[in-house]
Amino acid sequence: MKKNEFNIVDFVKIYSEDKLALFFLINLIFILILVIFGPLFTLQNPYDLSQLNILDSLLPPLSQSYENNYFFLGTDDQGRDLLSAIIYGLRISLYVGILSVVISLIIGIILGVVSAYFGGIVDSFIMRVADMVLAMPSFLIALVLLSILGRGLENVVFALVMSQWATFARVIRSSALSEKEKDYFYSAKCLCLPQYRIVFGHLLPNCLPPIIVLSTINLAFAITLEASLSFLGVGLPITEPSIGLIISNGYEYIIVGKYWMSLYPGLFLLITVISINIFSDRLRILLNPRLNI
Amino acid sequence: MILEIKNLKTHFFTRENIVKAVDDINFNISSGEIHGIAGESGSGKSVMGLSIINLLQEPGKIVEGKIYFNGKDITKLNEKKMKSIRGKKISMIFQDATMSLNPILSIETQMIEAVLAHNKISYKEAKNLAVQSLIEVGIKDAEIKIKNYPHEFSGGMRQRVAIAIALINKPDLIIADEPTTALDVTTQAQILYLTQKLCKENNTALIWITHDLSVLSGLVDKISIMYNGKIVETGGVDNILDNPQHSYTKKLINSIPKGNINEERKIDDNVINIQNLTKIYEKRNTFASNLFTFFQANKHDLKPDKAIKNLSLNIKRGEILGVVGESGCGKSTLGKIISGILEKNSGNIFYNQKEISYAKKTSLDIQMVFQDPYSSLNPRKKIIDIISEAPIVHKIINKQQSKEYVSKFMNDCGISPDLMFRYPHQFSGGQRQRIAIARSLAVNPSVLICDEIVSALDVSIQAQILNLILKLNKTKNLTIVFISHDLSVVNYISNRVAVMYFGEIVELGNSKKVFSQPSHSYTKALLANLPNIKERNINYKSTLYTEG
Repeated sequence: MKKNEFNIVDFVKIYSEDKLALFFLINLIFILILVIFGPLFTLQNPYDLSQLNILDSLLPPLSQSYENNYFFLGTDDQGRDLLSAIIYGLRISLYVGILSVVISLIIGIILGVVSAYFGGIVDSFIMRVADMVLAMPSFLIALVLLSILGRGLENVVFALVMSQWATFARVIRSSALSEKEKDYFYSAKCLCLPQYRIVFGHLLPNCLPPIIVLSTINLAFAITLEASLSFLGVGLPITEPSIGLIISNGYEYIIVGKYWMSLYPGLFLLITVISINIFSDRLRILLNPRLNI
Repeated sequence: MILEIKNLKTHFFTRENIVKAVDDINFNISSGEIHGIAGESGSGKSVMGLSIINLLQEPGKIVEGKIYFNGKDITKLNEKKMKSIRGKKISMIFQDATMSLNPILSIETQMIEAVLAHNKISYKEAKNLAVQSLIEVGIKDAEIKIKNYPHEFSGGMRQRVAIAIALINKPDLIIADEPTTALDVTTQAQILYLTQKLCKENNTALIWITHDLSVLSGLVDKISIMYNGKIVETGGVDNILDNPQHSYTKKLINSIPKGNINEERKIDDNVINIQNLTKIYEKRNTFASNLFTFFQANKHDLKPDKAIKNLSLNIKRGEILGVVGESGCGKSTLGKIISGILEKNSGNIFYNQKEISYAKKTSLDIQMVFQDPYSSLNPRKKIIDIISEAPIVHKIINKQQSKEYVSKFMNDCGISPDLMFRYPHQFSGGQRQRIAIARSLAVNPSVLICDEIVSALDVSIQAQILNLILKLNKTKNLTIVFISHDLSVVNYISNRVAVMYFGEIVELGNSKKVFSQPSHSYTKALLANLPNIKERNINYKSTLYTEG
C-alpha cells in the first residue's frame, strides 16, 4: 500500500537529496520573502520622492549618507537606494510574471482540453491558431503588441499572455489526447455522464501534472521577457519600475565606471530566474511517475 | 550442469523498503534441458532471469549468492567480460518483440550486428548465417524478408525473428521471458513447437518463464514454481501437474478454469438484437497521412479496415454469452458498439425492441467493464466518488445516501466497504476490477459487457473474478457478454459462445457443443492449439489456419 496523502515533509526530504536544487530552493524562498515583506525593512520607498536626497546620488556600494544610512549597493542618479529599488522592482517583475502565467494557464487549459475532447474542426481551428502563435518568436509578438497598445501594466500582461497561452494549450491537448484513450474515459461515457463532468471532472485533473512543471519554466521565461521589454522601454511605465527598467536606467552610467546601477539589479534578476529554473527542473524529475516517489 | 544458481538473492532498494524480489534461490539446468518457471506476477521470476545475464537495473542488485555458468561464477564478472557471454553463450527472448526489436533498423542490420559482435567473420558470411537462421525459424523467402523492418512483420513473425537472433550465435542457454504471452493461441502454438524443436536439435538449454502453467505442459522437461521470490517446488512435468505437493502449487493448478459449468438455458427472450452490423475504421484523411500513403509501398494495406462485417447476433435474457477470437477480430469493437461508446457505420441494434444509437446514449441499461483495471478507474477520485458519481448524476440516489448505497455494491462485489475512502492506486489489480464492476452495477444495468476483464490478472485472482461474474449472473439475473481471447475461460463461464474471426461470427452455439464438437475449421484450429495441462507431448503441428 502506498501512502495516501501528499506529504509535504516527505516531499521536502526527497527534494533535498539534490543539494544544488535545495540551495536554489532556499534561495527562491528567500527572494520570495524579500519581495513579499520587502517594504517592511527597506531603507526607503524608492518611489516616494520626498524620501530621496539628491545629494546622495551616484554613491558607490557601501557608502554612507548624511543620515548615517548605509547604501549597501550604492545609489542611482536620483539618490535612490539601489537595494530598495531592486526589491521594489522584483516585486513588480514577479507580480507581472505570475499574473501572466496564471491567465495564460487558464486560457491554455480550456482551449487545450476543449480541442482534445471535441477534435475535428474545433481542434484544427484552435491548434492552427496556436501554431501561428508558436511560429513567431514570443519576443516579437510582445514587442509588436506593446508598440501598438503602448506602455502599461495591463498591456504588458496582455502581451505576455498572448505570447504564452499557445504552449500551454499544446501541452494540455497532447496529454488530454492520451488520457482520452484510457478506459476510465470510456467508462465515464458509458455511464452517460454529462459532457462538462467528463471534461472537467475526469479529463482535466489527469492532464495537470505536466502543467505544474511547464508553468514554473514559463514563469522564469515571462520574467525575463518582461525585463527585456522594459529594458527596451516598451514595457512597464516609469511609475511602476520593474527590474528591467532599473537595469536600463543604469545602463548609460556603465561607460563612466558607475557599474553598480546595472550590475546588481542584473545579478538579482539572474539569480531569481536560475532559482526558478532549477526548481522546476527538480520538480520535473520528481513528478515523473516512473520514478515513483 | 550448464547453469547452477546457489543461494541467489536479488533485492531492490527503494526509498520505502527493500523488496526481496529473489530470495534465496537454488536452481540447476543441464544442457539440452527445457525448464519452465511458473509464478504469478511479482513472484520474482523475471528478476531471476535478468539476474542471470546481469541486466538488472537500478535499484536492483544481487546481494548474495553465486551463479555458476559452465562452472564459472558469473556474478562477479565485469561488464566487458559479461558482454562476451551475453548474446554469445546466454541469450534472451523478451515478451514483446515489438519492443525488443529496434524499429528503425532492418532485420538484416540487427541480425548481422548480433553476429559480428561476437564473431570475427566477414559481413557476407554473417549475412548468410542470418538468412540461414531465419530459414530455421520458418520464415519463408528469408533472403527477401531480411531486408524488411520490424513493423512489416506480424506479431508472431516478429517473435520468430527475435528467436532467430537469440539462436544465431548457437548459445548454450536461452532465457525466454513470457515470449508467447502477447500472442494469439494459434501463433503461440507455432512458437512453442518451434522453440522446442530448435532447442532439442541444437542441444540448447532453455529457461521458459511464464505465468501460464498450461503452456508448459507440452513443452518443458521440468517445472519450478516460484512464489514470493522463492522456488517452492521443482520437479518433472508429470509430478508437478498431476501430483503437486506444495499448497501453493495446488492452488495454482486448481485455479485454472477447467471444463464447463454452465448449461444452456432454455430461454428465447432476446434482450439485444443485432442486425447486419458493420463498423469501418476510416483511415484519417489529412495532408500528413496522404503524404505517407504516397510513399507507402503496400497500397493494399490502406483500404479502410473493416472491424466488423455484416454481423447479426441475438443475446438472450439472463445468459452468459462468450465471445472469443484472436486479437484484431473485432470482439472489443463489438462490445463498445453494443454499449454505445463507439459509433457504428451501418446496421441496427435493438435493446428490448428499441433501437439504440450512439448519438443519444441515454440508457444506462447496458454497461461495460474494461480490460485494464489500472486505467479504467480515474486515479484522482476516491472509490466512493467513482462508484457514486453516476447514480448521483442520474438521480438514482441523492448525495446523503451515497455512503450506504456504495457499501451495498462493494459488499456485492466482495470488497470491504471500509476501503471506500481510498484511491485506486492503493488497490491490487483484482480489487480494482471488482471496483470497476461495482461502478457498472451501481446504475442497475440489465446487460453487462465484460471486455477481457480477467486477462490482466493472475490465475488465482482470475478464478475469483469469474466466480463473482457467475454469482452476479445468478443472483441479479444479469445478462453478461463475456469477451475474451482465452478459450478455457470462456468455456468455463459461458452458456453460449460466439467465435469471431476477422469481423465475422463463424460459429455460434451452446458452449459445450462448440468446445467438444466444433464444426467450423477455425474453431477446430483454435481448440487444437489450446495448451492444456492434462495433455502432455502434444504435437503442435503447423495447424495454421488460413482464410477460406
